[in-house]
Amino acid sequence: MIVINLDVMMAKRKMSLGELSDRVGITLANLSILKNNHAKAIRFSTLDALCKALDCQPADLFEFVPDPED
Amino acid sequence: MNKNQIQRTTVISRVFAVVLLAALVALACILPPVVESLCGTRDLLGDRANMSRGGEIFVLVVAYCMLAVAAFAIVVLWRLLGVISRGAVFSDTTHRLLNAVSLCCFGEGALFLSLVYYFQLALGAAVGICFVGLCLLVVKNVIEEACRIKAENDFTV
Repeated sequence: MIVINLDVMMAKRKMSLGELSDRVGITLANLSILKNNHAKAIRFSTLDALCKALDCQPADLFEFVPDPED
Repeated sequence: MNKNQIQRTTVISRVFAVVLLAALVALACILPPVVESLCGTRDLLGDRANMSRGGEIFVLVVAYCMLAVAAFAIVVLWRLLGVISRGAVFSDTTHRLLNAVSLCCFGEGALFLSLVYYFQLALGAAVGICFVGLCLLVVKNVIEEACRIKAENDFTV
């Protein structure tokens, strides 16, 4: 499964969820969905905005973790 | 179609459901003489003549079972209308309720089939009501897929 390390990048950039929401232009609710690994898909436009706001690469935000049953 | 129009059509459906349920209750009260007269006119329908008393009782029992299944289906439809009026159409509850109504239709079809020995027309009614059950089953599958697509859409950031 894909794990989103949004909270790690936010801590590195010392940015709160509210601030990131304002910069990226998506709602707090949607950011929470992303942060808590409940998202099923992410638009490229959102990914682009996140990378710009957090000054990082997409690979910094995502990590592949094998499923426990694999 | 705006929310007010949907609410209005839901209310109309609820009124129909209440009227139908009341009609079923009334029919349950007058069923024995109705079944007796129906069994008496069987010759006119070209069915087997001289039905025994046992046969009449069997038809009466099956008729009451049909009324019970129909009443249950109306109650389930009432709950489904409640779900629609709350705006929770794309949920697990909806396709479980649709599944229940389709099973009721198949049950009614089976009950009609049991009467074929006495009333040939019951075969047509059985096929018709099973077709309705099949349509509801397909609608249930459509709603299930719609729920899956909506969930994916809701969790797309």
